[in-house]
Amino acid sequence: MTKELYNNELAKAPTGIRGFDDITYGGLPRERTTLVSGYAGCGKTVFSMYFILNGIIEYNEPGVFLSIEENENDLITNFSSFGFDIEKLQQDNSLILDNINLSRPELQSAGTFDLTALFVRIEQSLKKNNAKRLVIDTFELLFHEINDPNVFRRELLRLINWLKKKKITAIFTSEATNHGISHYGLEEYITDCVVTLKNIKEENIYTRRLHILKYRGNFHGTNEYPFLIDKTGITLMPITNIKMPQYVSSDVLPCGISDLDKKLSKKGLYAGSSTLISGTSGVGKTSFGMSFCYENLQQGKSCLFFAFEESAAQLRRNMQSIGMDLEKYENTDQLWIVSDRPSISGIEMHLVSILKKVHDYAPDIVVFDPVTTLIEAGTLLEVRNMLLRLMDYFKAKNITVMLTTLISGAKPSANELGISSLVDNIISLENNIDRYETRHTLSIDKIRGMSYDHQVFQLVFTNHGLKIRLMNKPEKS
Amino acid sequence: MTHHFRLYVAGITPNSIQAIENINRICREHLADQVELEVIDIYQQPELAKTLDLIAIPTLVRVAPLPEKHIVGNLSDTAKVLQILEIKAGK
Repeated sequence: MTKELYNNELAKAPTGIRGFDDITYGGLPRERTTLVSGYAGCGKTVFSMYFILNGIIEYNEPGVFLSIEENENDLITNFSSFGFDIEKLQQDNSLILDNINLSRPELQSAGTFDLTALFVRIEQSLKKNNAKRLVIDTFELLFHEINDPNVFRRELLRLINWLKKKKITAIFTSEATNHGISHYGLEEYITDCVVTLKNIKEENIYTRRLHILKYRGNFHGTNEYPFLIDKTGITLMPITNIKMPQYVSSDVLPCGISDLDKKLSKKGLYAGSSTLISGTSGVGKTSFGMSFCYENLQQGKSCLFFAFEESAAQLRRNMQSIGMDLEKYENTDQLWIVSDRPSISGIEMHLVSILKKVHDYAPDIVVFDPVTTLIEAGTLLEVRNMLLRLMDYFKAKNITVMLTTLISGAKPSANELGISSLVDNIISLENNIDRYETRHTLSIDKIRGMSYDHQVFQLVFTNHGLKIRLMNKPEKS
Repeated sequence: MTHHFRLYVAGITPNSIQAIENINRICREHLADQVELEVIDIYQQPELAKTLDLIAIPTLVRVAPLPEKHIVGNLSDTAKVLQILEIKAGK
């Protein structure tokens, strides 16, 4: 049964747009036409453009981009601004740019007609480079020209069927209105796949979102997915759609404190697991997080450290005092410290930008220090959802993650974000004022899938890193 | 005054044939003999679709007198054609 299902699955044309191919399980319906709709400035043209350019560069499928709005020079300028060598692609004939200029005398009709001239024109372009992909942007403007709904709809259907016969995967774009996703109800005719793009303003922060309105015969993510357009293109982060991993690692990684590894039955943390380090201010959470990285860097792993409260320079200096030479690993590109404040962008955008970095850098280990800072960027519920999605994503990619969380109260077992159930492991750090000195203590609250020592340890900072000691037998340092 | 028309058709379809017949009839009935008419099959010259930004077929272009006029359709609506071309009915 399952096998049959797979065999009958629709053929897809990957867009190469990060994330989009995941939520559609492969891309746009191959040899079909997709409608991409959105208000002006929502990214329709960029989306379509990437479909064509990725098609050429990554999938060896020549493409035709037919613009009804912009002339060839504007198109070249736009495309080039994303770092593509458009003229080269044109020279080797893999890309054909064409534009229909509608600034000629107005068309008036006297009797029945069809759009054969448009078909002839498209066919000319498609033939030139044996194109597999076609974009008509903004398709709807042709309607203004025709100004006859019946002819337009009849010819639209004819065009869709004609392209299907020619085995062309196409995108037509339309302008969304307050009443719907296109002026003339294109979505009723383009039935295989409809994608809408939005730019939503919430609390003065704009977030781009993509939604798959329909996708005939295909499972697809139903959420609105935030996406990002920057110099490197479009990134969509469909974290809620990531499948649970088939494979769970039984490898272990050192936790960053070698004495603590010995207190765990597997002598370390599982690769692909998530660990929460909770504690009040100044108990050594950042040092723990960085020690975790450092131990693993020494074993050849790569680490991405998100420092939400400190600059990279500050971290370098502070970590040096406990024997870590971060620069050494930064220079070999094994360690990347990203230092920025989440409040600069909205929570969704922040999530997208985090995931984009993780995706590009593909580290073995990710540390968020502290994850509580993210609250600045959104409501508690939003942050919790975002963390849930992040954890799923990391698990699916077998990335081992450590989160530090700042506890404002005295009792560290409470967990302000309510994320303790989302993580595999929890280690609490605490300040204990014991007669004349403040002692940092460490206790293991939970480790999924292994047994561990339940004692409370003293956490000691030495110039060779972090150490733990038994509380009742303090040694001299 | 000489009228110069170009009629763009696509092969021998009913619309194309009707458009040719209709423009010939309109010229005969309303424009006497001062007419130059070219019929162009875009299947024979497909590059014209691009050069002229043609979309619809049939398309009649009045090249002269100016201003240039574009009429799409099989020209079966004689009154509409005359109105667009600003020609008075009859000879």
